[in-house]
Amino acid sequence: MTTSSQKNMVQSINEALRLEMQRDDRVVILGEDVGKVGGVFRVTQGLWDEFGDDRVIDTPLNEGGIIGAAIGMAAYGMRPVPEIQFADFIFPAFDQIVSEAAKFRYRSGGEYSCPMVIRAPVGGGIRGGAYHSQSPEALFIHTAGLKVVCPSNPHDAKGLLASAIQDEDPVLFFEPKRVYRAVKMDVPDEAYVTPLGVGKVVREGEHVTVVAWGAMLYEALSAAEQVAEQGIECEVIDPRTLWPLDIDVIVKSVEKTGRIVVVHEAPKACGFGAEVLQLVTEKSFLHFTAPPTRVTGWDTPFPYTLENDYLPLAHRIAPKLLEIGKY
Amino acid sequence: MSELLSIYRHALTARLIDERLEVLARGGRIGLHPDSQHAEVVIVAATLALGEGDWVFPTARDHAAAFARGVPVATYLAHVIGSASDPLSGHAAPGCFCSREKKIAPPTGQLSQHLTQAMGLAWAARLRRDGACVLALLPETAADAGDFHSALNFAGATKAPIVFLVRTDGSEAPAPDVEVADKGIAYGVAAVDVAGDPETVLFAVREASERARRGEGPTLLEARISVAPSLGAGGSAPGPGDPLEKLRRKLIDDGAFDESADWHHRREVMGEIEAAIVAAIDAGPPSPDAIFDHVFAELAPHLSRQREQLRKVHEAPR
Repeated sequence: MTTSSQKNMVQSINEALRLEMQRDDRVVILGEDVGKVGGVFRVTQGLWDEFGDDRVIDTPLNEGGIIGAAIGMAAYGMRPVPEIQFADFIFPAFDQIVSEAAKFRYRSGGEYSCPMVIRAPVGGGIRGGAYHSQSPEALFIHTAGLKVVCPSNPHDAKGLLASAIQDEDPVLFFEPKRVYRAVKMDVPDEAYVTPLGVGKVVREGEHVTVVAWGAMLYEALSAAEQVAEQGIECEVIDPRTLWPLDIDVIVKSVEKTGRIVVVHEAPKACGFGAEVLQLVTEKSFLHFTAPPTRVTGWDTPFPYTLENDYLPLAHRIAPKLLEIGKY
Repeated sequence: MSELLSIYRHALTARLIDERLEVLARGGRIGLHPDSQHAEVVIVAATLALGEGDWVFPTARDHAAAFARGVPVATYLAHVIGSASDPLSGHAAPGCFCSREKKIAPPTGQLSQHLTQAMGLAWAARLRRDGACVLALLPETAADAGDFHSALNFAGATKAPIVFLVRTDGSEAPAPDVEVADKGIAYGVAAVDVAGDPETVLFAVREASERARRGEGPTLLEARISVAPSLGAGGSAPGPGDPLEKLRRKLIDDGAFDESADWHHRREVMGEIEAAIVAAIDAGPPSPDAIFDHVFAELAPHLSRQREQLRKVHEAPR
C-alpha cells in the first residue's frame, strides 16, 4: 500500500538519498561534515549511522579535492553524491567541474563517464551575505556536458534527486535553501523518480507566461495571485530542470499568452533568463504581443543588509506582470 | 624479453612517435603533440611495475604508458591525427589518449587536476576492496599546482592505494635542499626519492604499490632524470644524459642487441609509425555528427536540433 507523509525539502532529500543508497551500493556521499554532523543544513542526518564511514564520508575542507575525488570515484564506477556546503563555495571546484567532469565523457569518446550529483544549497533570503546567497546556475548551464536541476518543492526534490543519481552524467543539484524548511507537503514514502528535463505548469492562465524556479517560484505565484485581482491571469511554469531545458512547455504557453516574464535571483546580465527568452523568441517571435521581459537580481554582488531589495520578490514582480499583461 | 629490453622498446616507440609528430605539427598537419621530454624510460618502467588490475593516470606527455599497456601504435596515431578511426571520436587533443579497457585515465590539460581524480579512483578501489592500486604520473611543475596538494592531503587522510610518481630534473647538481618528495611528509604520504634509472624505478614503484595494496598508504615517489626541453622548444638532441640513450648503451653492453640490430628495430618501428599515419589520414575525419556524440550519454533535445542545423550546413551547396 502506498503511504505518504508531510515532509519538508530537507526531509525529502534525505529520504531520496537514503532510498538511493539502499537501492544501489555504489552510491556514496562525501563532503564537509556530511557524516556524524549530518551536513551544515542536516540534509544527510542519520545516513552515517545507517551506512557507515565507507558510504558517508567526511572529507578535508577542500572543494576542489572533493569534486576531483568524486570524479575519480565516478570513473571507477561508483555513484558519488558530493555536497558543497553552499553554492558560493563551489568556485574552488569550478575548474574540476567545468574542465573535467563536464568533459570526461566527451574527451574520452565515451570511454569514461562521470555519473555524479553535486548537491549545493543556493539562493538568498537567509541573511547570508555575499558568500552564502548566490545563484550560480548560469555558469554551469553555459558549460556543455552538465545538467542543472533546481527543485522548488519537497515532492519534486525527492523525485528529481533520485533521477539525478540514476543519471549517467554529472548533475548540479541546486537546492533553494530558503525553501528547505519553509514548505511542507505530502510526499510519498516510497521511492519514485521525477524525470529530468520536464517542466511543469503550476498555475494556468491566459495572459502572461511566467517562468520561475527554486525559491522565486513562490514569489512569482504570489505576484500572479495579486495581479489576478486586476484581471491578469498568469500561467506560471517551473522548469525544474534548468538544463537541458524543457523549452516546449514554455513555447506552448507563450503561443497561448503572447507574453513572457522570467524571474530569477541571479544577476540580470547573462543570467539564465536571457537564454530562456532568446530560445522562446527564436521559436515564437510572431506570437509576441509584448516585449519578453525579466525580473531578476541586480547586476551587483549579493548584499547583506539590503537583500530584500536585491531579490526579485513579489512586490517587484507584480508591477511587471501588470505592465506586460496590459501592454 | 627481459624487463629492461621491454622498457627500452616501449620507450623508443614513444620517442620515435614524438619526433615524427613534431615534424607533422610544425607542418600544420596536426595540433601540438606534447612530447615526453626524455621521461619515457621512467614512465614505461613505472607502468610495467603495476599489476593488470591497476590504473594509470598519465599526463598529456605520458603516451609511453599507453604503449607499455599494449595500446597499438596505430590506435594512438589515429587519436593524434583525429581520424574517423580514433576511438576517442576526434574529441581529445593530441596526447590526451585514454582507454578504459587498458585502465588508462583521460589526461587533462589542467596540469595537476588528474591527481585528485586519481586519488578518488584509488579511494573507490579501496572502498570496494578490489585490491587495485593507482599510479599517477606528473612532471615537477605539477607539484606547484593546487590539486597536487589537495590530492596528497586527501590521500594521506584516506590511506588511498596510490603512488604519485613525480619526475624531477636531476641533471643539475647539487640536489636542492628540499626535494619534491619531501612535500609528502606533512600530508602523511610516504616520501621516497630515487634515481631515475629503470631498474630503480621498477623496484620502487613495485614496492610502493604493494605497500599501498596492503593498506599501508600512499607514496610520493620522486625519480630524478635528465629532463629535456620539449621538442617544440628546440630541445631534444639525445645526449649522454638522455635516459633512453643510457638504457640503449647498457643493453648493448649487456649484449641484448648490437648497433645493427637496434637500427633494424628502429626502422621497423618507424615503418609502423608511417603506415599508421597513412592509415589514419586515409580513414578521413570523423562524420560532422561526431561533434555532438558523447556530450551526454543520450543526445539531448537541444543537441539534436543543433546536429540538424550542422547537417543542413553540410547539405547546402557551396
